[in-house]
Amino acid sequence: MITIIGTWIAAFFTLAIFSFLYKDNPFYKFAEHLLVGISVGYGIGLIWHNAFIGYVWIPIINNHQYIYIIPTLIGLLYLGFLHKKTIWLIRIPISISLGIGTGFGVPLIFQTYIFTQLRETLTVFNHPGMGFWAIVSTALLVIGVFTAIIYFFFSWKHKGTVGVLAKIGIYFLMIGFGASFGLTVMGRISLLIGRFLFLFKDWLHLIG
Amino acid sequence: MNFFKWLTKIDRRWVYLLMAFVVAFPILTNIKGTIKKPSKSAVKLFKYIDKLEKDNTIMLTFDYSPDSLAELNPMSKAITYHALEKNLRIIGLAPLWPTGGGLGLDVIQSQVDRFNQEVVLKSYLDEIVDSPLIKKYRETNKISVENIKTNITTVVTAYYESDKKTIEVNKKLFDIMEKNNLFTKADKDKFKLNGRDWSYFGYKPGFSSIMLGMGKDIPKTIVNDYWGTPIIKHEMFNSKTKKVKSFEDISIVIDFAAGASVDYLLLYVNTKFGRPLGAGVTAVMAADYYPYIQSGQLVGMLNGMRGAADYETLIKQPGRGLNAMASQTYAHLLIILFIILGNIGYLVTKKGDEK
Repeated sequence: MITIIGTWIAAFFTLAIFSFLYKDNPFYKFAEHLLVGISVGYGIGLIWHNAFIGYVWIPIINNHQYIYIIPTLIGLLYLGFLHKKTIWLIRIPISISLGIGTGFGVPLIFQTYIFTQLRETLTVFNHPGMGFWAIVSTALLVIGVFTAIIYFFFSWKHKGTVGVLAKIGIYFLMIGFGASFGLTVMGRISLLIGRFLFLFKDWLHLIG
Repeated sequence: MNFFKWLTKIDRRWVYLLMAFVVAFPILTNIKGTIKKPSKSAVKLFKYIDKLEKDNTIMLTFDYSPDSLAELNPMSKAITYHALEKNLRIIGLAPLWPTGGGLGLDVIQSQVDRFNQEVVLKSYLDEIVDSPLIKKYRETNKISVENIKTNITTVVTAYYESDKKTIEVNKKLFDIMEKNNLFTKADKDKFKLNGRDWSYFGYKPGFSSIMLGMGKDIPKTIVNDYWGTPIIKHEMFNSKTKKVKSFEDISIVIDFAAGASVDYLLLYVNTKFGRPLGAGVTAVMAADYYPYIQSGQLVGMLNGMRGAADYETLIKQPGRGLNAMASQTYAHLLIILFIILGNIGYLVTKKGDEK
């Protein structure tokens, strides 16, 4: 019974959101506002249960792990923003999280996004037994990386050889944007199909 | 000329209506899509999982919300089912998106239920149909023997969600057997049980500390599962011979992502702890992650609903991904037609205006 009621509610709100395609109306507004409200409420409930109860209440009150009081107090300093005189206190938890985050993050970010990517681009031909199309594809990759970087190199004027390379770089970038646009279209259509499958199958049972 | 001018003035709602028709038509007329050649990135991920051995553990992370469910649920279900078929152990959690906590559980639970029902129904097909309990059930619901047999066989071979009535029949049969203690120990050994074959943690706040902690000690970091049970009580985490202690014991982590979670997991899972990472992402994001497949930082990737259809083809279990492919194709053709018409119209009317 609960499932049936849930399905009907979901179907009503799906149609309410779709109604915006005709024109703005109270059903759409109601669905939109309800979504925002529910999302916030769900988020607060979840954080309360998972973060506060899980990491503060249970360890300190139930398990008597009093060491957890220190990070809890530091975290509570975020509430300093509530008053002008205590607003400076929020710098403490922010600086701690920033410091730890940067310390952990910077080496990993360099390694993941720069060093490994660079190494694999430089050694891209170093795979024995590459077929003809693999070589063509790899060559395109190298030319694309090189010319796209040239396009973003602004210390020289984009004239002569540099200009030609930068122009080739633009074409590679445009192909990249085109691919992203195509994928975006695919994604949006998928969402529409998902809703239609829900309406015709789960709600109306028009198909098996 | 007049046609193109008329096109520029057409009410956009007609375009929406046409698109709705093109998407709805294949669904309502049951036109199925096919995948002749699954994408390379999907094949890579499939092959990696397919080569894993019994009792290897895979970790599935669910970082999405209901708005991207249409794209990510079919692929996450397909991978979960593949893992269950391969007798791999599954750990599920939502490390970044609070909304992923409930969605991930639905994915794993639905596939475990499906698998358990199929195991029993496969082994007990004849006995089930002839047993007094089922006889009574058949008579009450006026279902013929052949019908039940057909339904059971269908559920084994066809997609679980494609036939609601079949599921209801099978679920009732399964429930009757369970309630009446008809399952033997041998049956139960084949089932996928929570704590032994799979474990679900739900949403765990504090991404960085959770990831760093799991690199050293998963039970100490996670403490309780989704239902509040200490995970150290689970056989998966306390078994003497094959317990999961840290990322070292995870064969692959696969992230189902509607946001930047793959970036974060690349940092911790792959770079920091050197564990293989796979991804299932929404189509909008997919272009950003191909470089990581080329560099080997990602084992493979499923790209939107097409990725789900690829994986369903590879595991020979048609599902919502494949169901959607016909609509997807027709919608794309219509959009291509719009783009061509729009550009011709623009050029023609521009030329007319210049004159």
